[in-house]
Amino acid sequence: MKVKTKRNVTGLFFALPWIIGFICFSAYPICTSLYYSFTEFNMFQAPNLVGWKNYADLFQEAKFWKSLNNTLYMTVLGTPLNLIFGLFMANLLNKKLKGLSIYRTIFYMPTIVPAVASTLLWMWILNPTQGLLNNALRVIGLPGPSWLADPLMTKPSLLIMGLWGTGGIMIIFLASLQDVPRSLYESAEIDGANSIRCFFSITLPSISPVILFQVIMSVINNFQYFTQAFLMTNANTSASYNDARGGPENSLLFFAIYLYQNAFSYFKMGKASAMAWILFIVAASVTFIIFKTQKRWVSYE
Amino acid sequence: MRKRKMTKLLSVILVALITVSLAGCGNTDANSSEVSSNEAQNQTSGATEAGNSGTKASEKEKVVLWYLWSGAEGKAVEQLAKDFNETSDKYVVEPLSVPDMQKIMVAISSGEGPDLTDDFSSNVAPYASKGIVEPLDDYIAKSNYDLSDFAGAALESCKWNSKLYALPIASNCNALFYNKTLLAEAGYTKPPETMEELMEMSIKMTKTNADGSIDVLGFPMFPTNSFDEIITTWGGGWLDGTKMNADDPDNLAALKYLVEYRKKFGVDNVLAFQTAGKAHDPADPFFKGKQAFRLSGAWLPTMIDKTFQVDVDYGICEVPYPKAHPEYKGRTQITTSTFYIPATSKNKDGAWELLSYIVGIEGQKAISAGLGCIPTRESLLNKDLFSQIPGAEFFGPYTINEQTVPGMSIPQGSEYNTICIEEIELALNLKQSPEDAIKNIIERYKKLS
Repeated sequence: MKVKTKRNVTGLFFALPWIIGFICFSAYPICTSLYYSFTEFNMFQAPNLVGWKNYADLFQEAKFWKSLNNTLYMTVLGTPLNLIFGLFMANLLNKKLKGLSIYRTIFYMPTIVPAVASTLLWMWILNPTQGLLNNALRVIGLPGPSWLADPLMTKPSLLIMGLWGTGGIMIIFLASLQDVPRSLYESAEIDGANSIRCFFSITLPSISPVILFQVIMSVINNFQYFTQAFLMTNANTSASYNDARGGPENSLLFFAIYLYQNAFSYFKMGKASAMAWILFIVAASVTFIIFKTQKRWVSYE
Repeated sequence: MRKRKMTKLLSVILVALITVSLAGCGNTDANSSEVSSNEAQNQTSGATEAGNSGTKASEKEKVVLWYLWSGAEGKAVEQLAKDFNETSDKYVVEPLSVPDMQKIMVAISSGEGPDLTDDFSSNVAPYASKGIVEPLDDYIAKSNYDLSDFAGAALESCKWNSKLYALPIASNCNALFYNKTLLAEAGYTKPPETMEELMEMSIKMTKTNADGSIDVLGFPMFPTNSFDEIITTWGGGWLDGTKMNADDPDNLAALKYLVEYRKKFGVDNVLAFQTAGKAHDPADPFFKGKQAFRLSGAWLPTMIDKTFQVDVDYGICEVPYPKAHPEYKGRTQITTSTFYIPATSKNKDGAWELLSYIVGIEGQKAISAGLGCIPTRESLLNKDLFSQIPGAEFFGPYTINEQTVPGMSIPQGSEYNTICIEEIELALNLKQSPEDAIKNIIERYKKLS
C-alpha cells in the first residue's frame, strides 16, 4: 500500500466514530423523514404512500400559513432588532471605561440562563397586573398592555424577551470591533470625520463579514423558534401532557409549534415530516439569497 | 492510477460502513430489545427487591409499569406495586415514574415501552384506532372479571366501537366551587341553582378597579373559559356518544350565554385576569379570595386543604342547569384516568394480572387515598373514602348521579378538540359571532381525516 493511501485509510478510521454517528443519527433520520413526508404515518401502523398529498394539504390550510406568517414575523423583526441591539451594546462595551470587564460580565450573564428559566422569569415580568414591566409603565403614567393575552402583543413580548438574551451576539461583535485597525480611525480623525461618520464608514464595513454570519445564524434560529413560545403557551394548561397550543388566537403558533402539534398531539408524522422539509427549503433558500447579496455589502479586506 | 485505486478503496470502505450502520439503525428485533430490557431490569431492581418477600426476581415474570404521576402521587403507585409483588407468586412489577406522554408513546412505538401504563379516557379512541392499545374483552372473558361494580359512565368512557380498551382508575368531573365569604358579602345565602342565577350572581360579585380591570372575578372563567363544562350542563356537547354534535342548538345557546359576561366587563379585562393569575399555585386567585366561582374537579379540595393548606372558606355544588331545562340538573361529563396495555407489551398476561389488581378494590382504595381522586367502583364510594379525601363526600355521589354523561372519544379527538378551542376563543374574544364559530367548527371537522 502506498504511503498516501495508508494515511488516508488511517485518517478515515480516526473519523469513523463521527461518520457512523452522522450516518446513524443524522443522515438516516433525515432521509427517512423525506420518505415519511410522502406517506400517512402515525408511528404505530405501517406508513401509507400518499404522494404529494401532505404538501398539497398543508398549502391549503389556514393554520399552516398562519404559522409561517408568525415565524416570518419573528425572523424579519427579530433578526435586525437583535443584531442592532447586540451591536449597540458591543459598541458601548468597546469604550475605555473603568470596570469594563464587570459591565461585560453583567451584559453577557442573561445568555447563560437556560431558555426555560428565563422564559418563566419573563412571564412574571410581563404579568399584566403584578409584572415589573407594567408596574414601571404605570409609574410613568402609561397604560400597561396585556402582554401575553392580547394577540397583537404576544409576539412583541417575545421580541423584547429576545433582546435580553443577545449576549452571544454582543460578544462576537465585540471581538470583531476590537479587530478593526486603529490606524483607520486615526487617519479618519485627521481628515475631520466625526464618530458617527467613523461608525458608518469604517466600523460597519470592517465588521461586515461578522454581520453576515450573525444574520444567517439569527435567521436560522428564528425559523426554528420553539422553546420560549411552547413554554409560554403551555405553562397554564397542566392537564394536557402532549399538547402544544398556539397561544392567544394562535398568535404564537410558530412553524415548529405546529409541526410538534401534528407530530405528537395528532400523530401525523407524515404531515410533520413534510413541514420539516418545507422549513428546510425555506430556510435554505433565504440563507442562499442572503449569501448572494453579500457581494454588495460584505467586504473581506 | 494510484489515485483511482485509492478512491476505489475509500468508496468500498464507505459503502461497507453505510450498510453496517443502516442495518444497525433498522434493528429493533429481539437482540436489541433484550439488551435494553436487561438494562432496565438492573436499573429498577432496587425498587423491586423490597417487595419480593424472599422470592428471587428471576423466578418471577417481569411486568414493566410506567406511570405519569410523580412526587408524592408517584410514591403511592410505587407502594401499590410493592403490595402487588408481595401477593403475586407469578409476576414481579417494575414500577417507573415517566411523567412524559411523548416518551411513553415513542417507547411503545419502538417496542421498548411498558407492559402497563396510564392515560386519560380522551385518548381511548385515538390510541385504539392506531393499534396502540390491546383490547381487553378477551382477557375479561378469560378471567371472568366482574365489571358490575364499575360506575357506568366511567366504564363507558373506556370504550371505542363497543370494545373496552382500558380500565378506569379515577373518575373526573367538574363541579362549581364557590367562595362563601364573597357570597355572604354580596348578600347571598346559597349558591346558584340555574345558569341564569349564576350569571346574575357573577355579575354582582365581580369587583373592578377604577380603570375597569377586574379585581375579583365573578364568572368561572379562570383558569379556562369553562366552555366544555357549561355546554354539557346546558344539554349540549361536542360529541353525542361518538357522533359529531357541534350543531346541537344548546351549544350555540351556551356560547351566547358565555359571551354575555365578557361583553359586560370587557374582553381585555377578562383576558388580563386570566393571564395574571397562576392556577394551582399558592397565588391562585381562588385561593386568595379573588375569584367567586370556579369550575373544577375533585382534586381541587385536596389541593386547597392538604397541598397548599389555603385558608379559604369554600363550598361545592352541582354545575347549574339552564332554567328552562330543570331535567338537566346534575348533568356532568365523566372522563376517567385509565390504565391500558400497549399492543407492544412483552408480557400481556402479566399486565392484565396487574391491571385487574390496580383497578380492583384494594388497588383503587390505595390509589384514591394516595392521589386524592374519586374511585370508579361504586362500592368504594362510602363514608370510609369520604373521611379520607376532602371533597369526596360531594364528588363521590356526583360522579354516579343519573344525569352523568360519559366523555367519549373519537380517533381524531385531539385535533377536533383543538379546533373547538380555537373557534370558541375567537367567539369569546368577539372576533367572530357565536354562529360563525359553530359553523367553522363543523366545516373544519369535515376536513379531518
